[in-house]
Amino acid sequence: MSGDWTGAGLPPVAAARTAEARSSGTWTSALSTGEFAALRAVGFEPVGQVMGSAVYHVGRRGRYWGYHDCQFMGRWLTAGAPAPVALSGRGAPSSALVEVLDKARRTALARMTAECSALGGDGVVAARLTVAPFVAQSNCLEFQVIGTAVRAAGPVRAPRPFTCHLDGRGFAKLVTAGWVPVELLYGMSVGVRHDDYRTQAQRMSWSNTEVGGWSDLVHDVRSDARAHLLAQSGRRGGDGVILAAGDLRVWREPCIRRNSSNDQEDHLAEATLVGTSVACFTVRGAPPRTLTVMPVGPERRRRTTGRPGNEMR
Amino acid sequence: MTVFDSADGTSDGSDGIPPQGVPADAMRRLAELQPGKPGSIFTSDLSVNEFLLVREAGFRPIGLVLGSSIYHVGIQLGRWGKNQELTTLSQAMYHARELAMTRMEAEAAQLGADGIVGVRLSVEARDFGNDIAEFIAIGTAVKADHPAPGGNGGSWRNLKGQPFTSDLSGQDFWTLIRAGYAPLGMVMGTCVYHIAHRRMGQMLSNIGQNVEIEQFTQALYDARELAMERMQREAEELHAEGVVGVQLNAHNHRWGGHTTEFFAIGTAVRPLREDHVIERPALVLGLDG
Repeated sequence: MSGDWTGAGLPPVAAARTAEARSSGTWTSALSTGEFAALRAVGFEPVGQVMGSAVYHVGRRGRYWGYHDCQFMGRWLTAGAPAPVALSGRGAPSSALVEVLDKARRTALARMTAECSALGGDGVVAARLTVAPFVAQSNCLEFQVIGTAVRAAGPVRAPRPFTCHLDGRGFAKLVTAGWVPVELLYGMSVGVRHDDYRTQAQRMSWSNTEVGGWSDLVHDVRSDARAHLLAQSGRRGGDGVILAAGDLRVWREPCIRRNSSNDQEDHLAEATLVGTSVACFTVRGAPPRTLTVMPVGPERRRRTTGRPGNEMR
Repeated sequence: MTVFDSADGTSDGSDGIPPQGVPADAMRRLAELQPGKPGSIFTSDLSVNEFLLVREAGFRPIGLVLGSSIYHVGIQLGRWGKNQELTTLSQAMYHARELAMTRMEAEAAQLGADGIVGVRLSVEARDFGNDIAEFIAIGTAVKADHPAPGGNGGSWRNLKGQPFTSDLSGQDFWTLIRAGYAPLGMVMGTCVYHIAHRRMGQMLSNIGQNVEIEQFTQALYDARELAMERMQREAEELHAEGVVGVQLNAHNHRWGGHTTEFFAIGTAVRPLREDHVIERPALVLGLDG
């Protein structure tokens, strides 16, 4: 049944499932009771669980598919100038990798929204995007996104379903306050920097010192990831982006430019940001006020300091 | 009324909005969306609760700001059997955090922010090698809708003309503003302390006995007092009324059992006006276990 699919639209199995779910009128969801109640309270109802998946093959080989290239010309050619940060956002070789990963994520998201439209939904809440290496072949990556499709009460329909990482409660609170989620976004950047002479000297220093080159590396990579995320948010528009999580991974690789002497190394940094763009609309009637309450149940005593909110590093 | 609470934050629907009105309005807005201009969209790493509460407190998030510094810690000579502060390490911890904070504040000032909320200041050991760590400060820059009431010329910024910083969550920030206080800045104190090893004779003398080791007690006291005193001095420099949300933590980065960093951090606050009233909260008893 699934042998003759060309990659356009939904895979036949998924199309059959959504058609069956739509005709039967029974919905499935991964929402908790509280989330379900919150959704219904703001006039949305679940229509079913939706999923999108895409397996991509990253063509090149080697560690990190050989995309790390520090673009450092060597100390003598550059007259001792500090090594540059080769950023994916500035067209370094790693930009091809960022591009293919971006395309894969968007394919998975598009398939999920196609399922959502097929079920008659207006958007997807609690969407989770995961990337995992395909079991038997490590240079194939599976991009999967899964969430619950919801439908708005009333006759007005959006041209394209919205997607968001927020759970049912977060979604309900946003809508009550006059904000509607637009699109799940994923910003990413890869930076490579050669450990030049100055960096080595700072690393081996006897006194306290900042390792300037590496500070530049992580700063540039994070800024680039933010710029990438913002560039994506411009595609559909909106008023703001609420971030869900961010991560920074740092590791080192032998430099592929100066292979002759083995002690030459590059440091790589990869920053990712996940978030949802939101748009503001005017709420009719008075906006609800927040009520200060003091919980008196013994188990309600929670950590009062620090922010348990997001995991952003 | 809506209770913004992570456990049971749902609307009770008594606000007079027809049930179909809100989703229809939301869908209409989605249908009207235009691709945005670059720079017209803010980012924030606040959670939904925090975002909405910061808005309700009268502040608009304008962007995620961060500062970071990769820092190499120098070599410190110390005596094996002596309680002492390791000044080189203390200075490194101070300097690196200052660098990260200053860079974050510079980003916020560039955005024209009045302050930064939800700041997290952390030390991450990444794959850079021993003695090297990343010091990072992340927060959300905010701009006030209205000038500050009371003195200070209506400005929310602190006495140094810098945006205020606060490590309080959005919930705590909202509560603080409602109670008539404004954050001034994050204040911190640190002390890296070497706790003396005990000599063989001392160890042998109290084998099999329950005794207090005064030497260790005193070392921990000294170190904590130093850290807290430094934090207090920073708050005095900002002319703060007090410091809220202080956390006093011991971090044992990579230095082994006898060298520990004592780190105190909190948010210095000032009253917005002399005659502010602190609201009485309603008491609730949760029934959800």
